Amino acid sequence: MKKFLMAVLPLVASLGAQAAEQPADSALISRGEYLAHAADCTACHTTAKGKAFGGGYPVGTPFGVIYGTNISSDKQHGIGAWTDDQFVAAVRDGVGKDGEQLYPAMPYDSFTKMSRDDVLAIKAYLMSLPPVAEASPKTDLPFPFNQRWGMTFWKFFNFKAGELKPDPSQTAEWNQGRYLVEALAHCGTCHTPRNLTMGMDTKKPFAGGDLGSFVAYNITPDKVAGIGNWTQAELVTYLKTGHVDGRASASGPMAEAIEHSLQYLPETDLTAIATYLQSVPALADDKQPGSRSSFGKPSDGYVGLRGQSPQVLAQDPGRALFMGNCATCHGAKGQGAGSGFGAYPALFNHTTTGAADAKNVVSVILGSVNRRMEKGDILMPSFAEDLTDEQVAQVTNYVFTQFGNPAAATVDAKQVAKLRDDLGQRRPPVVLEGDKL
Amino acid sequence: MSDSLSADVVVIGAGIAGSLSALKMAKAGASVLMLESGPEIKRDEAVELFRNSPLKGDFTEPYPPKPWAPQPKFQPVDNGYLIQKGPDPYLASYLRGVGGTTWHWAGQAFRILPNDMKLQSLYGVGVDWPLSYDELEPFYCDAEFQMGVSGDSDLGSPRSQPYPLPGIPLPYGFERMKQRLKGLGYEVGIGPQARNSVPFDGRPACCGNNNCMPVCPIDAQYHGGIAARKALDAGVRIVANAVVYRIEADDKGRIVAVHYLDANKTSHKVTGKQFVLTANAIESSKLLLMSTSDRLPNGVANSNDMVGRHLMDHPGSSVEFLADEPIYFGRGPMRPSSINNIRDGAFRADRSGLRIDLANTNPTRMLTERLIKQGYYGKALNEKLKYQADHYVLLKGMMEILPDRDNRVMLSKTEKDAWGLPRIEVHYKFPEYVHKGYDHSIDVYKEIAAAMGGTEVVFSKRGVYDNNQHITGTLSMGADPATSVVDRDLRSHEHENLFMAGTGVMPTAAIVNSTLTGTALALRMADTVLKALA
Repeated sequence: MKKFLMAVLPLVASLGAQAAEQPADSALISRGEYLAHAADCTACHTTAKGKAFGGGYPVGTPFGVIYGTNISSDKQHGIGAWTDDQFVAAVRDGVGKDGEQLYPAMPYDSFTKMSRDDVLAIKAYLMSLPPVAEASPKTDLPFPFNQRWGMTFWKFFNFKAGELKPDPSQTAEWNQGRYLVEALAHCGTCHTPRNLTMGMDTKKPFAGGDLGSFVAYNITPDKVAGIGNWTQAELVTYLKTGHVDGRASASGPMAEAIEHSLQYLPETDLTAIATYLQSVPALADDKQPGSRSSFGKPSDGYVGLRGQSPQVLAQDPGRALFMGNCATCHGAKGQGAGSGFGAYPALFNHTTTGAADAKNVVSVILGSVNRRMEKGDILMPSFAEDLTDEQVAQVTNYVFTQFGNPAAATVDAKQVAKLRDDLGQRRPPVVLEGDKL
Repeated sequence: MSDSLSADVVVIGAGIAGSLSALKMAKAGASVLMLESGPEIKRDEAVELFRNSPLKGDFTEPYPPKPWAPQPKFQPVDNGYLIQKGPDPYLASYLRGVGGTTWHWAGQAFRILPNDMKLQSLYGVGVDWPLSYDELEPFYCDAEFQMGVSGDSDLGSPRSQPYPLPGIPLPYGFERMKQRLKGLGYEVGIGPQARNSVPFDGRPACCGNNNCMPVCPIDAQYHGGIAARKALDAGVRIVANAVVYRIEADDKGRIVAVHYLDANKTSHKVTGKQFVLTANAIESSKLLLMSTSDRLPNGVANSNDMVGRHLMDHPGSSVEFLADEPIYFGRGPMRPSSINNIRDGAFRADRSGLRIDLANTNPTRMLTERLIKQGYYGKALNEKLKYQADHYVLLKGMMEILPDRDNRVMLSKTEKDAWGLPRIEVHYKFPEYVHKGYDHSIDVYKEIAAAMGGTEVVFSKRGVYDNNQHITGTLSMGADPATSVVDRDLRSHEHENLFMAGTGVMPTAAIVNSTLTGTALALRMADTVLKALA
């Protein structure tokens, strides 16, 4: 017991009674930096080209766009003039500086589990950075969602305040993992399905959520639907780098979480996360016919293409599109190239092509993959301007038929068009022809 | 409907220079229409065309021409697109299609040297440019940024800004050559390349698979098709398969319209306020020469009979040998590296300077074919091929040919193409200046081969020089309207609203690949066109 307390102390224990209004010491600031990474504040409070914590990142929701606010040390536009209590109330209770209700796009349903001292360490870190004197865009949802007081009803159904207390019956590692998963990294925000009122469905923690353009997969230890057949080392590598040969590579919001947050966490934290996730209840999914990374094998479908006439090629457009657009990096047989950090992933034995829903592949083709990692950038380009909606559907269906879960090869142009619009991606520009004006 | 096409600026030719200048003008608010004789080129189709082609050494295979826009082709035999009038051949290769010839270049994006622009005043040969290096420099920066040029040394061309991207790493064998040639005074280095060393502008980094010149299958290498797409995104209209055959001037010399033939040979008229010709140095000349009228019997912009003259390229010599250690040619991009410190000096009064590319094109296919022809087969073939492929070195030297009014393109008076337009004749002769440059290059090759322990050393022949597809001259820029086609702003001396851009306007060819310079000049021209619109 004593050993456990000693181990958890650095993470959840109080930093002492010192008043946080005092000039923060460097240990507090660096702890705040670590916590801000773990809580991935950057994700919503910094835009791709914007200044750190200057706000403005658009969070798409079914009700409209909610903009991340400026949480820099600026007194006018940021949190520079906020008291500790105001900051803690915003982070943990979803109540703004002037008492207004915050939209739960701010994951205070997770952050409520953070300790007050940790929240104030984050504040100390933010206050140590240069102010960004820019107003963030105003969130302007349509009626009735612009009635912020309505959030009190949402909270009534979906919000349970209270910080997480260590479970003394579990190991220090498990407790650390739980704190990271449940509070800081707020994994459930994406990976727990939403209920009718868009709160986290507490009956199905981590069973997978729909994010609009992407599916956040089931990360429970279920061997078919979830991550039950991953080793702990694989989970840690994935969280650290975004890629594990023969398993998965991260795209969409998960790539962002790795880029902004998880890659900066020490390996002990990532191991703790894996330990905790492997301990939560396994939840099956009858839509998932087999383990997502078990599908597919190398295919030599390309052989039949060589030397064929355009008429023959037109009979299987997905295959020709695959060869011209995808095979250069992902291999003619879908086998990928290289291994480890910089690998071009194989398309079989990949959780994204083995999924029940082909949406993530469509969104990646349209929206690209870009993980800006400390070790270097990982980039798959966008094909939005190369391929029409119909072509994206054809090549996606080819990939699922040839390398993944064939039951998911049901994408049509209409679905692609919707995802293209949701992702804000362009259509291929039209070149006119001299005789058809 | 078809005759109502009109825009502030009509650009003829949708290559890299035309597209980037169109993009710049559209961003500044001008309505821009581009006419391109060839088809839209799609990368995935080009990649598959190359994979399906039996002619892997013919880098035009991914880009089959349309009947209305034929283009030069040399494999399996010369298709005779350019009628060679001699005495020496000018075997230019280029593409006609949206994006133009940079669909299949090697991305070499050199700046010229300040001294390259002052040959007459410094060395008493050639001509001086009517423009200084300092005036062009900001536009070099802009072009490099758009193209994502990577590099690590200014190579004697002063820079106001660093390269947009870090240099591509030298392949292993080239690092070895760099070390072994240092003592001779030949600096092997990375050349500036329009190729991503790290992901840039939504395009991935080069992974060194040596596909550059048929087609970069992942757009790690910049090309005119990317420029054209950006122009489209900015609102430029591009009309493909529109073969412009006549530029029409009014009685005052103002250009009022251009006329094109479509894929059905139907003629269309396009009007505009300003006109820009960026259709490659040879095709642009052809169009000006075709545009005759009672008032302009020599064609548009050609009262002084200067259009099509001063044709240049970079005559090339070469050496191949087998080094005494493995060099592994074919790793990395096709032309990553070169020797650049022997381009300039007092010798230019007498002979051409020299720039040497370490031609990194993977030699395995060529060596295999050659060994089989020599009678090797089975185990002996494998062993010999392995040794040669590992040790093979090919150096390609580039020389400067000076502008000569008798080196020129002209219209054939008798031959016509399938759309009834005159075919092109080329008159070309290598001068002593180049032959002397060749002699010097052989001396350099001998030193390098010896330093690398080279065996089976084979030099290219005196008087037989590669064409490097750096088509320059024909639309020369100059201060004197009697001896040049356009002024320092690339405006026609004769027609106030006609501009020309690309590599054809370069009054001398310097000794580096010409694309970046042509593009920088086009971006500078765009400012003048915009001013003219205002």
